Order: sequence, then C-alpha cells, then structure tokens
Amino acid sequence: MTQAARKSGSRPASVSREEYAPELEAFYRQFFLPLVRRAVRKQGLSMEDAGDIVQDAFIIALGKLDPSKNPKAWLYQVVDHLARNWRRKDKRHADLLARWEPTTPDQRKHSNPPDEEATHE
Amino acid sequence: MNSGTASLVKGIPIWVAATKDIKLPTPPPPEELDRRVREARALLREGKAEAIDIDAGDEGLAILSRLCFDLSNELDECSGILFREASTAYTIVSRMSWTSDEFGERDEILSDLALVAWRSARQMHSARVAQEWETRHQKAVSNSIGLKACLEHYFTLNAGDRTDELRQSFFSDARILFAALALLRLQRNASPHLVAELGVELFDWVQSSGGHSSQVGQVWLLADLSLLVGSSCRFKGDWHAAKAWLSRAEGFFQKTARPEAGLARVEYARLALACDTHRHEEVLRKITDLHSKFAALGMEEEAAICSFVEGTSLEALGKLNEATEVLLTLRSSLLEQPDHWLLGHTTSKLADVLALSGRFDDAFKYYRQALVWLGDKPSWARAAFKGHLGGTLRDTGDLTSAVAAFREAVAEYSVLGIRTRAAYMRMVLAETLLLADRPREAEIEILAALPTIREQRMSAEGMVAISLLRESIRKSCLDGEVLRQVREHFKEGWR
Repeated sequence: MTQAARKSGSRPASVSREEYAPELEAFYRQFFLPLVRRAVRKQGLSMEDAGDIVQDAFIIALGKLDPSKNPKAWLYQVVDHLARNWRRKDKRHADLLARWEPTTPDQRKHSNPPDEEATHE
Repeated sequence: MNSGTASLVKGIPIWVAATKDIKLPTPPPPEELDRRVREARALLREGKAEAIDIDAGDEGLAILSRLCFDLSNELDECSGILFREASTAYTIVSRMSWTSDEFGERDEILSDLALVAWRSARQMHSARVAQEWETRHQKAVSNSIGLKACLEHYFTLNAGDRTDELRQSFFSDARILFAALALLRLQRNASPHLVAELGVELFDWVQSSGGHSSQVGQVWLLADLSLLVGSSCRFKGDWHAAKAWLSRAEGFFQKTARPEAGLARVEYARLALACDTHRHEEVLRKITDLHSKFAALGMEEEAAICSFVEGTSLEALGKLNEATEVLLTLRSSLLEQPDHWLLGHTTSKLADVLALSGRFDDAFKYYRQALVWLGDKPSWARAAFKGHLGGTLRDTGDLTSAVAAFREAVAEYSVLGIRTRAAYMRMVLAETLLLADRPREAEIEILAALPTIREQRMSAEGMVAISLLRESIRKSCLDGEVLRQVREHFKEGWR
C-alpha cells in the first residue's frame, strides 16, 4: 500500500494471502484475537460481533493511527469506543424488540401492531 | 517503539488488505462459548479449580474473557458465591503459562478477577482478606501494559481536554475507574500535583454521576479518592487541604462495611502529616499501635512506611541511636525486595541520621546506594535525598558541593510543584551560600522564597523576622541570624 493511500485511510488493494500467510497468522494471534477478547471482556459482545469491531478499528487505524503515539493504547481506545457504541445500539435494539414483540399468545392478542402503536407516540 | 508495536503498525495495512471481505474465525461458536462458560462457572462455584480444563489458547482465553464480563457485571457487592468464582478463576489464570501477551491481557484478566474478589470480600470477609485482594488488584493493574498505556494517555491530557464527555467515555466501566485509582496511588510520590488534580476531578465526577457503580461501590470510590487527594495534598505541602480531604475520607470509610483498612490508611496519612509538621511526640505516641494494626491486616507495605515515619520522628527529636536502629531494621527487611520504592528513601534517611551522629563515612556509603535505588526521575524521595546530602556535605565543610546538592533539591521540589519545600530548601541554600561567602547569591534565593513564605501562616515574630530580612537585603548587608530565624519560623508555621 502506498503512503498516500494510508494517509487517506482508504482500503489498500488486496494482497496475496499465501505470500503473507505466516505474518497474517502471527498478526491474528498477537493482535486481532486479543483485541476481540478485550471487546468481549469489557462490553460482553459476542466473539463474532467483537471481530467485526476490531476489523473496523484496523480500518480506522489505516488513516488515523500515529505510530509515534503509543499505537497499542490508541487501538485499545478505539476498540473500547466502538464496542461501547455497538453495545448501546444492541441494547436499544433489544429494548425495542422487547417492546414490540409480546412473548405470550395472550399478550400478542391484546397488543397493537407496531406501526399502529408507533403512530400514537 | 518496541518490536511488538512495530509489527502491529507494519502489519495493519497488510492485514486489512488480506482480510478484506473475509469473515474471520473467532472461536468458539456462540453456543459453545455459552455452554463452556456455564460449565466453568458451575465448577468455580464449587471451588474446583483443578476440574476446569482451560488454557491460554484461543478458546480458553475467549471463555475467560466472557467470564470476566459476566462476573464484573453481576456484582451485587455481597455475594459469597461470586467471591468463590472470582478467586478460584484468579488462581487458575495466575498459574497459566502464556506464550505471547502483547497487550498485557493476562494482567488485565487478573485485575478484573481480583477486583470482583476484592469488592465481594469487602462485604463478607475479614478486612485482611479484602486487603489481600486489593493488593492483588493493584499489582495486576500496575503490570498491565495495555491498561496502563490507556490510562496514562488520559492522565497526560491537558486539563481542558479532560471533559465530562471524555470521562464518561473512559470511566463508564467501573473497572477502569478502580484501575485509575490504583495507578494514581502509585504516582503520588512522583507527581503529587497531577494526582491531586485528577483525584479531585474524578471525585466530583463520581459524586455527580455515581461513577456507574452501585451505591456501595460509589461510597468506596469516594472514600478511596478522598484519601488519594488528601495524601497528594500532603506531598504538595498543602496541609489544610490535606486535613480536609482526610476527614472526608474518614467519613466515607465509616459508611462502608469493612472500614478497618481504609481507616488505618487515613490514620497513617494523618500521622505522616504530623511528622511533616513537626509534631513528632504525637507521631511516636501513636505509631506503634498503627504499625500493629497494619501488621494484623497483612498490610506489609503500610507497616514498613510506619517504621520510616517513626525513624524520621526519632531523628527529629535527636534520638539518633534509636532512629538508626529503626531505619537499619527497616532497610534490612526491604533489601529482600530490591525494587521496593521505599528502599532508596529509607537508605537516604539512614545516611542522614548517621551523618548527624558524626558517622560520615557510613553516611556517604549509604547515600551512594540510595542514589542508585532512587532512580533518575524526579520524585519526592529523590528531592529529599538531595536535601539530606546537601546538609551532610555542608556539615563536612564541602560548601561548594553542598550548594550544588541544595540547588538540585530546590529544582526537584520545584519540578514536582512542592512550593513550600522548595522555599524551605532555598532558605537552607541561602544560609549555606552565606557560609561560603556568597551573599549576593543568597539574596537571590531568599527573594525567590519570600513570596511562598509569606503565604504561610506565620506568627507575629515570624513576620517581624521577614521584615528584618528584607531590610538587611535592601541594605546589602544580609544577616545570617535573621535568615535562620525566618527559616525556623517558616518551619514552625507548618505545625
């Protein structure tokens, strides 16, 4: 990847996975998974969601990471921030689902359809 | 940049390019992770550490990470089961061997588990057990590279950049708040001003927001933060603020279920303040009891500091043989832990006492050792060392070296923002400069010290002495006796 591409934060072109296999394997265990687990430990995300977040953090790092300013601490903070936002959205989503999706047939019978109820607010 | 960080920076572009549009494996699958965590918790509740099949591999660490989250968020502050789970998990993790740990994950997991165990223990176990877990938490936090790096980044921001929004983002997780407290406690000696400033900010924020902790947790946080600020104010020489914060800390600790350790720490901070302000008889009257309390609670570090304060007060009262004995015993016990922060400070104090006893050769031997242990960064202990050394050099007639040592002490106290100590040291320096027949330089030091001295509470005699001193400077006829009197009144004003 070129310096200009890195500065702009754009995604780099594909690289040959086979060519970099040992480096990628090491990166996965040394950096990717520990950051995934950090998001699980701090925000209780699923491993899968945490993996998406860490990938997003690495993409942000392409354009914004300053190597002279403690990159590990910076990545920690970005992952924490993204994970917190994810959890907040996830919670909001779950709250909405709980509100609009009655759990028992009896509740279902007495509840208004979501769209109809939403118009009352 | 170390090699791990260099690999990270170099690897990110390659990683992003190579993993584009790929769903990366994050073992184990969700159902499997849930099941394994449930099973592990059932065994942990029974305290069966040996029955849990977990290692520092990908899956094992995923299970531990989820476990940390679950335990930290179930905290109801009084669960014996929770304590058993966290303490058993801590034992398992502390025995694990790790191949690579770029982010200090092991210590972060240990700090999470120790914090759960500590907070549960505070409600249901003896103060001694709670204290053991607090010590483990403090140690894990101070070893955790990633956690430390994050918090130190926050600590070094300008005050204006530490907004409530940022605090919310940093400390919405109570674990980070407790970790910050543990780290700030370790920095009181080297950065008392910053620690006091950050401590007050966090105190205000926790008081207004609750610090995202339960009510019980909030009281603990406020108690610990008050003690932190009180002790930092003491290091700064701001005695009145120190007293007020220590009273506040005492009030909060009294509202907690296991207040013994916290109250003993407040008592220590008050005695150290008494020592700083020359109330040495009071120190000697109370210090033995406090030492016993710390020993009974298993607070070895605090017990050691009590011995240091005892030695200092004995020296101040002219009981040099007793002071030497206390400090030699303390130094011997600390030698078993060569990286103990108190070792250099104790050795420096011992050298000072030996010099006062006329044993200059022994004193210089210990000064040389102390210098190595005190390191090369400014700290309260290093500044005190320079002051002791200056005094000994002056007493041996080496005035040029004494002046240099006192100047270094002034510079270190000034860097640390300890203005009262810096001003006092300037007065000592001025007296030495007069002895060396360098009155103009002495005047400069006095004029630099006077604004701070005048801010202090001083008796009418002290104020008269200051006027006489100013007058003698104006007439370019500096009076050494008046200078000594001002210094004594200044010191007296600390009472």
